[in-house]
Amino acid sequence: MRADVSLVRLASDRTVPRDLFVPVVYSLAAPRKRFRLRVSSPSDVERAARFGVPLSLFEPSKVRALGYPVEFPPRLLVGRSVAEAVDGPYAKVLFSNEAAALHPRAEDLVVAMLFVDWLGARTLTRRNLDRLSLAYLGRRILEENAGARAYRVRLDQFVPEVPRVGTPLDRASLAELDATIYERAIGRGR
Amino acid sequence: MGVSEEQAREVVAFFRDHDVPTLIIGGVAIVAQGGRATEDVDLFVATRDFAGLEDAISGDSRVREFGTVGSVSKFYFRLRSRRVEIRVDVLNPQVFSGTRSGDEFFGFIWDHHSYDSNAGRMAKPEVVWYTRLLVPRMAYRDKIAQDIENGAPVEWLDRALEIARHFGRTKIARSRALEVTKLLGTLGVGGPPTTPPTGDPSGPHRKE
Repeated sequence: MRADVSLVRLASDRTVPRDLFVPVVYSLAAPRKRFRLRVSSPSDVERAARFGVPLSLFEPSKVRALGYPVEFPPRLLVGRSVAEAVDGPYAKVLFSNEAAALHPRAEDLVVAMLFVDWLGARTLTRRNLDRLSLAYLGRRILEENAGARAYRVRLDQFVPEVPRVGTPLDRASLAELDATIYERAIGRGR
Repeated sequence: MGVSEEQAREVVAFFRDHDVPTLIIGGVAIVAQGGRATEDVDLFVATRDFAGLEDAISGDSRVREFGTVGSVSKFYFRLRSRRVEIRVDVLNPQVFSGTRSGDEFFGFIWDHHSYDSNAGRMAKPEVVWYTRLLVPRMAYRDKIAQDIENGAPVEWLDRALEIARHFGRTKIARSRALEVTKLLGTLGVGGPPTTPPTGDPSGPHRKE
């Protein structure tokens, strides 16, 4: 046996695009029409989000905007409750907090980064200490069960709520992570 | 942004202009298999070329802040294509050659564990992982674990251990491979909350 997750239309959803919300046929006696969501492009994600589906695209451009130059295949940030009903080419990062999946704040992007590149999450945090709410970040790390990843890169140095789970990186690794500037605009740093 | 293949090609061409053959290693070689992009370019040169590297390239106006610490030479390279400088690390393969010479290692990797890419001669991923197993700093095991989380096949680790066996570094490589395995378990890599794509057979990594 397994759980079978699907989406249903709300009263406020007059019509739903069939290219996005694919009907699932159960039986003629089924009381409500059920759908699976198929997202294949950034615009699909935006359209689905407008229907209130808790998801958004975690793109490298959002990380670069926070000062960490990185490239990775975009991920789908998606609420855990609906994740099973979402198909498409994107790997998913599941969030328990659906509001954060739909409208991620900078702190939520740090949490998402812990599931893509936890070494990068430390850099992202250090470079944005002045703009992050560390209290909110701490709550979100716990909420998404990312404590071991956060402690691995010693985010507890900035966020006291991070639990001491597992083995943290050695000092030499942290020093190298913190010291490295990979790319810079010409004219800087000379 | 991460280093693109085109930018890596520009760096390799620069070395070629100075008659220094290079092997691309590090994140760029992993990206070539579809993984997360890297932010720098790591290269092997033959050990015989490493000692004279500063004389060979540091006078070029595209090279900034050339410096060597131990077996790594680092500098910033001014790209023609963008108004940025990227970090280039050049490694002496001697560090990884165990019981053999650095030049033997370079030749072995060139002949058996690399291929011609658009950017230049590119080490296969197992070479990158082998080097990551031998570097003492723990974060290099994390890089392997992150690659695995992002879809890299664990079999690359077996191939890295084959290279270790060839160069008499089995003991240290195996113990650090075990670190990777433990790390995967501690961090829950491979299970929720990240899940692979559905409805599309092509993952972020190509299987070889």
